[in-house]
Amino acid sequence: MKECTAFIRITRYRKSVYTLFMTDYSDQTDESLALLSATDHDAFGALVGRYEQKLYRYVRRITDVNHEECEDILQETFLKSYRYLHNFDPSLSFSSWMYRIAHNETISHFRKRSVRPKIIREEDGNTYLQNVAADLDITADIDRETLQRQIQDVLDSLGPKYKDVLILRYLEEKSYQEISDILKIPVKTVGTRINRAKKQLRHIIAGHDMNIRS
Amino acid sequence: MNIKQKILDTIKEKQLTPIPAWKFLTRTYGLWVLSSLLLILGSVGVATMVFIFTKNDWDIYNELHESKMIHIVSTLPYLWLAIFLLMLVLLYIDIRHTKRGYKYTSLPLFFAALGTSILLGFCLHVIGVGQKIDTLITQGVPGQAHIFNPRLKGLSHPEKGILTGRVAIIESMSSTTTRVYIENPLLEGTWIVIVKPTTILPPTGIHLQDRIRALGEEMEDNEIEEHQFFAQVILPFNTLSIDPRWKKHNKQSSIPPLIQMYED
Repeated sequence: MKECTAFIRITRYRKSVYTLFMTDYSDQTDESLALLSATDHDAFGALVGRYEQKLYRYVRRITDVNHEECEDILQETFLKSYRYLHNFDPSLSFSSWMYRIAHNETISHFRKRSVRPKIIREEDGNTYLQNVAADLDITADIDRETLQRQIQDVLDSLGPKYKDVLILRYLEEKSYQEISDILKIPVKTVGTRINRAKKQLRHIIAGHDMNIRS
Repeated sequence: MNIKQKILDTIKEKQLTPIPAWKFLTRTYGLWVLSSLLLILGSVGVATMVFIFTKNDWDIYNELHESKMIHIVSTLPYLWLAIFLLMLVLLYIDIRHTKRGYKYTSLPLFFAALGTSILLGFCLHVIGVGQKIDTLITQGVPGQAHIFNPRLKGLSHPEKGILTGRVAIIESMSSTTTRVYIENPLLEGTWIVIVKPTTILPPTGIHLQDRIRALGEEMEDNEIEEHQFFAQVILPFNTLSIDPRWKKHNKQSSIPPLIQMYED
């Protein structure tokens, strides 16, 4: 009983300290900020600050929305995450949880349009292709224009479920486990989708007489 | 104005608050309770199917159908099978919707649900749940019981020489003839099973309220209102072993055990 009372006191004290004095949340983990956010708007503000740019880039990568639409989606994402704070599962990383909400919000935003056009933006194109190439262990130069276009075509023809995984893997640089948590699919399925995409890419690259080590 | 400020302002303006944790907990536990319920219902289906299958007239299947395969296909409890499959699919969907359900791949999850249902079903069968459910349905909705247990319909074909029912009255007509009135909601009119000294009877005899199966032939008699069925063999309703004694009995000339007489 004494321990319980002490714990409550400490928790209250910590909350009041954070609320009154700690406006700098830089030393806090996302997960601890999420716990504080239910009662502390500034803590939530800090979380928004941390994810604003990352999620903006992510939403733009998985759709062809313009800046305003992207901001709308982001706003919905953050408001939803605030409303659902108590649904956050601490066994997941907070980042995966935020990406999941952003992904779902983007999908529901585009459900109204019934299609979700997706492109690899020009500014992302090189990073994407370089990361894919690195993963495939291609020793030759990837910058050849024809090959780049063909790889691009293959990636575009893969379908949304493959593209979602590839974007998270090669642009957001997420682990298989994180992708599994974001898209709510088994880790094995993540691996299968990536491997299928890689297989098709290898096939194209082999046609270009390039050296693949693995 | 940056997005962070916009969001914080919206929260203040609309006085938004996080949805209480209990609502999420209710959903989480609700899904698991539902899963347990679906698992139990599916297992009850398995237990009842196992019971029906073990009591599926294996001792007289060649009197009912041309082959064992036809007998199995004709008497499978399809409704229970459908109920079981429905519960299994719902269980699978339900587990998928739990907080960590997405982590499992489809096939292993499906087979885990299937395996658990079957295992639990066998356990329920062992403790007699299958029999209890079958009895409850037979007594509760006798007119529709054959939908759950097709065997009841298969045994209700006096024109093909097979009859089943619950013993309502046992009437001794003479030293050589006994009339056994039976109740069978699937057959119209009153049915009387005629028992002669040559009739092979169950080792424990026939008692009121017993459920019996009779092999023999329908008797044409326009003078009496009731339908009559001459029984060559009367068996207990519960299936005997695959190699039943009554088949050996047939070759013997000894008088079968006496039935217990009950005056109406």
